[in-house]
Amino acid sequence: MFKLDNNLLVELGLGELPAEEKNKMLAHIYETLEMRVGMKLAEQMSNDQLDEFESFINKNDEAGALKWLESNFPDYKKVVASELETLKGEIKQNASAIVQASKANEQAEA
Amino acid sequence: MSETLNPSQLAQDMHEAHQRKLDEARVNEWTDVTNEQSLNDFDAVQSHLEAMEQRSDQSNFLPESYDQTQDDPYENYSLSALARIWADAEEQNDKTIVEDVTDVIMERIDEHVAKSEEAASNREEALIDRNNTDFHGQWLDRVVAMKDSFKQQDAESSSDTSATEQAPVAPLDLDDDSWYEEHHVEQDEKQEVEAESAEKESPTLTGILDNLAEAQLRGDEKQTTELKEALNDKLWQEVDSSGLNAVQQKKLLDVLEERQQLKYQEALYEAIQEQAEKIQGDDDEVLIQGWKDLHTLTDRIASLRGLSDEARHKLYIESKTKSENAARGEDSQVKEAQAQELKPEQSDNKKNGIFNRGVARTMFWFKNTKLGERYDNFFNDEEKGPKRKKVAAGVGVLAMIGVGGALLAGDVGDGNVDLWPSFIDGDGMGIDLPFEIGDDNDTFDLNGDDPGTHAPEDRGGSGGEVGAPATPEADGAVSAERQEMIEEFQKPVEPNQGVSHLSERIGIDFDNNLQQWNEYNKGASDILRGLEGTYESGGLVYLYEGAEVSPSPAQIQQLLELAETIKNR
Repeated sequence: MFKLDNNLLVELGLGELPAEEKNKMLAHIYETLEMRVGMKLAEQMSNDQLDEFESFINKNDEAGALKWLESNFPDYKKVVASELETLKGEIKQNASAIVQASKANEQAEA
Repeated sequence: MSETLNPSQLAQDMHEAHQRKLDEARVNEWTDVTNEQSLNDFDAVQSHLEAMEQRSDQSNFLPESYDQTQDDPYENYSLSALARIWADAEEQNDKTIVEDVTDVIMERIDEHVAKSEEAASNREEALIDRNNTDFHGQWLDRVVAMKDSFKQQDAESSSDTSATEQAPVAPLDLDDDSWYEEHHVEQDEKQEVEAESAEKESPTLTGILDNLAEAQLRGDEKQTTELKEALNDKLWQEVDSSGLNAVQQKKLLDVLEERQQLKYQEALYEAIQEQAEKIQGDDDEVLIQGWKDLHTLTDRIASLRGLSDEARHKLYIESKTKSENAARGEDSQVKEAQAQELKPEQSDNKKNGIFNRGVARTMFWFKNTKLGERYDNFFNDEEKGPKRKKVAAGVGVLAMIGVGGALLAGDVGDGNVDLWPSFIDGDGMGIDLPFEIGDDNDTFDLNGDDPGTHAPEDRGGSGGEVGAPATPEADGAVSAERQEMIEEFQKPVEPNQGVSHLSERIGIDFDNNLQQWNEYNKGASDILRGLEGTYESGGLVYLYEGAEVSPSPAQIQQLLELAETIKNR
């Protein structure tokens, strides 16, 4: 099972971050992923599909929306996985800068 | 009440009647003692006599204005008297009086706070008033001060015969304000220094309790210890005359401290809860504003309380969880009612609150995140942009739900309540998504061309890859029997069912062994906590009516193992 956890952060080069920063980073990953996946999927929708999906939101119909998503975008999970991989790549590239910034903050507070 | 009766006389009569009743009780008590214990047991009798005498002393605290008819019979008691009554009742194990008196002591502390705040406010207003005083008033002040100064100098010169020279008296210059300013600035500074010094030397009881609560919330052990000692000293000063012994004092301190902690926490959560409950409904703007307000509120409370970053973060996490729980209808006070009276439409609303708030949260990000050019053009289109954003927010939230199961779990076992989804792993930190990458045993196939297995929720399938749902079994395959179990689990839930309802579907049964059922329900609740379609009440997990719950294969396996373990005990 794949996990958004400490091991992932270690894999991304963020293992040195303090626990609090790690939790923030996991939160950031989750929320960023949520937004990017949404953008990606919405971009592929026709005007009719946008209308249909919006009606589920307006009705607060989560179950209906999920069924609609599964039938209209059966590969949405691949989008999640793909976006996660992209995000991981971006974080990896910036990992050392993130760690340094965190250390600098820590020193400034000390 | 008869018109001929004098109210004061009536109060006095009642007081005397009360006193007679007390005396009577003591006589009866004494009779009981002498009946039950041998009069030869001198020590026991003596000991009891002393105890009665001590309680009798308590009546000396009864103020002259005591009126049994008034609402608050403790109104005129001093703090030391209250402390002594408390200790006596505690010793007698009279829980009612202990509770009542504890409340009264806490109310006194509240009053003290209010008075302190009022005094501070008055002082501030007085300072402002003085600064606003017109020049006429200042001039009068100066004249009076100068006159006093002359009088003093005259008195000194007449009494000091050895003085041969007098210091020249400066002429009064009505245009010169410097003396006045200098004099009053000095006075103000002196008063402030004195106030600070007094505060340092003798902090108020409430001040100590407040600081103690904050230090504990910050996890500052050193300051907590110091403040506990200060609290001990301060309270001892207050109750010294009551003659409480060390053990009684310690107990009273503990109770007060606990109350203060609870009050502090309640106040925080009340404000947050109030805000969190607003983050519901259909209006996107309201929801987004709600999230922003919750951020602001949390920050403000943290800032006011001087919390460390760590404590601030913890508070924020807790407030978010509170918000999620409120939307799921998991407020502790209504849990039981929901368990009994949950209606289908209510359960739908509760469940869908997650979706709704997710949209609001992501919309918040949209407004605060710089998008790439491609997306910028797409989402900022004047006509279609708003709808696209809304749909993107909703579909993003939903896709994550679809991948990971229910959003938003409660405590993950590390003692802190986290906001993360139910796929948080068991180590107290992190998020478990139910798929792996680059592994033959993937429960989710990333590449689309591996013959991997799929998670049960991956029902849509694509590219002809619909496989059997994944299980924790080594070969990644799933037995027909297990598949049946999974399908059973996914059937809509009947009203007011606990997790055992699901377990029965897959053959877990403890017959009528209630002890085993209870044990199983607790364990199963731990396993299924946070699963979509469930809610928690009294530490146990229940199922929303009509929900199609989908525990992961690993969870099903855990349930089976738990049942097996309990049966084999």
